[in-house]
Amino acid sequence: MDRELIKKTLSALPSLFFIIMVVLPLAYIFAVSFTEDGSITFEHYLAAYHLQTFVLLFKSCVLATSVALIATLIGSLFGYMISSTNLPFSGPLKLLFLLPLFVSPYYLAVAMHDFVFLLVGNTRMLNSEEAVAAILIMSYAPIPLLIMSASFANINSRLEEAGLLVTSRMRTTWSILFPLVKPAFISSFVLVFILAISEITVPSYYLVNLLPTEIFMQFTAFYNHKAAIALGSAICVLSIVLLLMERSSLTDAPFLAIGKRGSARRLVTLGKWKYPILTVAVTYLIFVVIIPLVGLAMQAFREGMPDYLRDKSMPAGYLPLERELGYSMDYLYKGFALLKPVILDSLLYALVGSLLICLLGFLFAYRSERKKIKWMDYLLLLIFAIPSTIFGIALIKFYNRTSLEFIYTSAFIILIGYIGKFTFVASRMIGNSIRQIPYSLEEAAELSGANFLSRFWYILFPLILEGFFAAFIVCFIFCLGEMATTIVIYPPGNALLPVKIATSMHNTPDGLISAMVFIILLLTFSLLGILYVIKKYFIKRIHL
Amino acid sequence: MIPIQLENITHTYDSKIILDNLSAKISEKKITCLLGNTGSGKTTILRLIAGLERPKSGKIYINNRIVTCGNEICVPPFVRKVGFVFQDLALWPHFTVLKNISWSLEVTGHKDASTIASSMLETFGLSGFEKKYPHQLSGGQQQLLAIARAMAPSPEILLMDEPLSNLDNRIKVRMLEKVLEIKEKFNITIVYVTHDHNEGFHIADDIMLLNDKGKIEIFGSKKEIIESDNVFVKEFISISRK
Repeated sequence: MDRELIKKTLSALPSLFFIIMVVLPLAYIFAVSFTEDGSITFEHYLAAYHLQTFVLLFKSCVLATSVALIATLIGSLFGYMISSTNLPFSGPLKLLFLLPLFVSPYYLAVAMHDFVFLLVGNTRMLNSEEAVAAILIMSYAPIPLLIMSASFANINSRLEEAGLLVTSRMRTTWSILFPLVKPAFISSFVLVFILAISEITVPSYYLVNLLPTEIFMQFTAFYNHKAAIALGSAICVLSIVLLLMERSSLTDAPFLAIGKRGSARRLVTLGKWKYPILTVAVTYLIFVVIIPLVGLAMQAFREGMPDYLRDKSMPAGYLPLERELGYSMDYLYKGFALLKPVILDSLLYALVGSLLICLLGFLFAYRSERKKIKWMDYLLLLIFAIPSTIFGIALIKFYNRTSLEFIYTSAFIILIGYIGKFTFVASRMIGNSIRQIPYSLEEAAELSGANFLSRFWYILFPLILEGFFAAFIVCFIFCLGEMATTIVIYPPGNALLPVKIATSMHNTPDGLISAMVFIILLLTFSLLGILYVIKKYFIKRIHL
Repeated sequence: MIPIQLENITHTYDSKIILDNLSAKISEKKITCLLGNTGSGKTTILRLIAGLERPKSGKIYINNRIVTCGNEICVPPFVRKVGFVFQDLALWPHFTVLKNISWSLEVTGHKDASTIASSMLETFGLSGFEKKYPHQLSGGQQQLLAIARAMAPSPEILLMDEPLSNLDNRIKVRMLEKVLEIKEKFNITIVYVTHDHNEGFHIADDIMLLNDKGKIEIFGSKKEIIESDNVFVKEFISISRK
């Protein structure tokens, strides 16, 4: 075979793999949702869309819009303060701001539930759209913060300085800076909107009925996957339209840029506002990070409740307070005993999954950045916009057949789930790193006679290692905490940490659930710490 | 022997014509300077010769051997025996000065890569900097390192893409002398791209002036160019002088 043809075939293999393993099940399930008894029909869609569905869709849209807007505003504000001003302790503050990103929204919901319970004795106030929105804002604000701070850092300070020569700082910020970061702002909004509108774990936990919970119910309670897909298609269409409208700015925004080089901006002096702004930032962090953790810890260390209090027919969070309970390690021991059998499996799946994701992410990003083959970017984006539940349903309906049983009944299906969900993230992060490396470095190696593997291993990989490793950390932690897809697809005997908690919810005391979440958070933060130390001390920063 | 021959080369970027049916023969063991305005296709010609890009149509010969035929690369870049000095120098930032030179020899299986690299460093006055990294060198030293790396595998042709554009005038003059020295010492064909006609006239034996329509306006010796009545040539030189 011709050498060129071999090269082209080899470079197309990863895309082919992704399309067959991830895209095909989705295409299949959508096609099937238009059939009944072998003939084409719209009956599932006609049956699914009635007044109640539209009310749910409207509620979901309002909630997602509010979450996206507020999270983007918060992220932009703190992103600007951290990247562009002389705000004290900006490094540690940024790390703390990012922590919620590594915690599943569900865990944050449990933690806030515990805190509210400790504060007011019941958690009824959490059974509302506002509470769901608050948790999602806390969870997703780090995403705009990352995107916006990278975008602010990318702006050439000369542009700002040219403005300052003719007008005030305020006016320069308004007329020069803001228009330049507008694409990143809109991209952040769209990204958070998509995540928020398909989020299912928090509304389920707070007993708030939204469209994603209805989809989940159709599948799990009635096993009516066609109705679930029909309902989910509204979210898919909405997300895809938004993405296509924002296509260029979203793909070009410095999404999760790590290790930005050569963009030393002159910091804005906050003057007398320095400490008031620091106070606002610390207060926000106390609410978002400290309070949930304290609440969770207090519940986790609470003495085991007597049997009569475990009555699950009582309202959520109900606990008669006549009897003061002390503190002990009981729940933590029990929680650990329950989680122990799945910890190793979870770590292993997350490790293998994130490695595969980063490998595929690199290959896709390379083709996009260097060969300017962009269609895979859009495909990854489209898959990212599909709600997790729909994706999970697609995987099990597609792989649940005799010939594909080896996937359906094994860890493969979980890995495919991870790949489908997070390759977009890895591809964008690694793509940002590749973009910062001049192509001439590889061309110089090519002229020296280095083949693709040598060029990758000796030239490109060491230069993007920092970004590659950051992508690995993010994907590893995301895989470890992934719940919405995993809970639909996990095969018998393959329950993972988040699934274990979700499935224990209805037959386990609240304190034990808190203890389990507390253990998972400890594990996550310890792993993050270890990975951060590896990155800081063992991954050399290259001066370009 | 004709070291480089371009035959009816047409090249486009996004349907914009960069080179339009361009033909030329580069003389052996001479410095040929490609002059022209920004976007006139000078760098593209170098990249086509090196095999880093494919033309839309036409043929490229190196030492009378066809290396590119239409959209097809018949001889891959590393077999063409060309050295390339990139405009941004493309020094590998994570390799030491010595490794920057020796690595390109190692990948092609040179057994005495380190020895050759050390001798190249000596030739280019970079001895003592072996363990430094590129960012620890001055601009002029980085330039020398880029040329040393390109020369290490003993190429027959050296392609230089505006290598001195980021240097101040004082160092630029010294570097131009160095390029002339290299030509004499290694007895090599050099194709040198610049938009600065002073730089070009300083070192070139032959000059190829490209117009803004992807064609060669004039190609000849320095003397022929200076004495030419061509309006474009006169304008280019006078604008450059201003």
